Amino acid sequence: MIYLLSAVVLAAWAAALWRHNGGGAVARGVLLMSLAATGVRLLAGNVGVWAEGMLDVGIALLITIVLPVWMCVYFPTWFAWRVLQPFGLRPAVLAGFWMSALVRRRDIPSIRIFLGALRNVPFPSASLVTADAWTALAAAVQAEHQRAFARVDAIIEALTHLPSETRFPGLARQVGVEVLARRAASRRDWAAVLRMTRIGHGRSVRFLALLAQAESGMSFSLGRLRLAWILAPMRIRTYRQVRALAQLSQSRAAITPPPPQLKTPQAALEIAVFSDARLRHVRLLGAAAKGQTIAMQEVLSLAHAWQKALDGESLARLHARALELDVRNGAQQAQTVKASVLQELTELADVAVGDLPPLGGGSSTDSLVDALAHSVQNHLYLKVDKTLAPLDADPAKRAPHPLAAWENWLALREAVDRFEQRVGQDALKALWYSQIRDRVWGWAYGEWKERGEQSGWAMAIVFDWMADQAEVLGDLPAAAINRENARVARLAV
Amino acid sequence: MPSDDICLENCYARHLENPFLVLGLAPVASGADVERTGQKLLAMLAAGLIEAENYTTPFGPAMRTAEQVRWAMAELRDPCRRLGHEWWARGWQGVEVGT
Repeated sequence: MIYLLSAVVLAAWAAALWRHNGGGAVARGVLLMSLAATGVRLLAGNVGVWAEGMLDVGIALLITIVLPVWMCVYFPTWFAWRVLQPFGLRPAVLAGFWMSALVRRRDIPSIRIFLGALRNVPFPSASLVTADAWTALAAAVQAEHQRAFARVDAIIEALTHLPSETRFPGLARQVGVEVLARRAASRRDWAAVLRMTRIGHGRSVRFLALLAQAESGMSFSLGRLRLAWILAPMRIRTYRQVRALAQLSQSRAAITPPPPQLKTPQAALEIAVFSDARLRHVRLLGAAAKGQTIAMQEVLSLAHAWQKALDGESLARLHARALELDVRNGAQQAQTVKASVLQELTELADVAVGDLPPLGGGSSTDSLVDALAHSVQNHLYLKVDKTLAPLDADPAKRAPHPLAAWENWLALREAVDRFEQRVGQDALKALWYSQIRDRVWGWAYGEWKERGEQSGWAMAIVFDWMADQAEVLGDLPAAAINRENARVARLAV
Repeated sequence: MPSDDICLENCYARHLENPFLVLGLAPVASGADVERTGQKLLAMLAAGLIEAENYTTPFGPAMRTAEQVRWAMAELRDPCRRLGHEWWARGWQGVEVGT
């Protein structure tokens, strides 16, 4: 009965491995399991003699099935990652990953790139780079080293919204996401930790997610945080932080009093900020430059304030001062000031959260708001145009490796999303037929034709995006063909 | 990938480097005041005096260098450029800088 049960469990496990990780992983797993089982059998024989037939069925199953399965499925990666990796023993870590049945044989080169990225080793030559989840995570780690956090966010955002059938190995979710989330936690960027942990799993990722919730002031269960901390690795390093959070959560019962009334000179600044458009303008620029979220309403309110500040009287004063300074083209100087204000307002509106007013929607006295809406639209259009430029079907202008090509497409996707949000679907439809569709299609086809399965993972995502866009914009033939393209590209992965 | 944050950071930094702020002068300062203050700051920076190494802005202190002082003096010598800087600097007149 036990042998039958063991055979069923093993067959189910092998089938699951075959489906997710391929035949090579099953062969490696069976080999390792045989070795582990032989070792455990010798041990169990001695234990059996010692126990003199007192062991029950549960313990027998534990020794004959659970222990060997754990030994050959989880132990190699656990040992490689937790024990060998901190010492920087890259070949040994890689061997540990190779021995695990959780890893597909074809993922090994990408895991090598990922382990290299942890030590800030550059990507190898283009022919050795395959676009997949491991190399995408490696690119994110590399961006972390370069403190290019916008690039990290773009990659995490793309991995969060992968098409449903796109491959994202469980071990990559565990190991890769843990590395990124730990680095974001070390710079106390809790919003980034929360975004990253959404795509990961495992003990460490679970703990970091709860820690980020607690640190960013969201409600959290202290019991769950403590349990996650006990289960997660690196307990000593995080002990003080968890203890401080526990103390904080126990002292939070009191009602928070209002902030004290502002007195000079801070109050003078606050009053001036609200009375002078220039000061408001610089303050808002400062907030946006520091990465704080600014609302579109704030930008529009500033534009209204500028409308008053740049009225005829104000510009006349500027003109008069120009004459005093012996500046001949005073009117032109006034226009230059106005243009520079509009340009900076456009930068602010570009990162602000919220809707722009429709074109021509402002009253006759709000010409600056209208000009701002025009300028933002133009800015967004130029961004789409600029991000389309690297997506060239010409092999001579192609990105060095498929992952770089995928990152170029990520920039386009972001620009198109923004364009759609701010300008609307009708304008995007015109842009889709005139510029985006054929160019991206031709580029993705060229990448696929040139690089084959090396670019399969990335191009399946691109074709899926093309199909989604085409569907939303009513381009049904393109939707059907690109959906099929995505399926074909995915088959190669 | 291009970053909007870099453009915004540049814009913000440009405003905080207004020549009137760098030299610690009011927008009504004459050309002679600009030269006198600029030379004084250059001498202080060359002597390594700590009080010359920072200047105050409405949004907090900023680092001052000899290059910045020379640049500020050059900007204010050009009437066209001075007009633009003066117009922005009037925005924080009456605000106690350095808060």
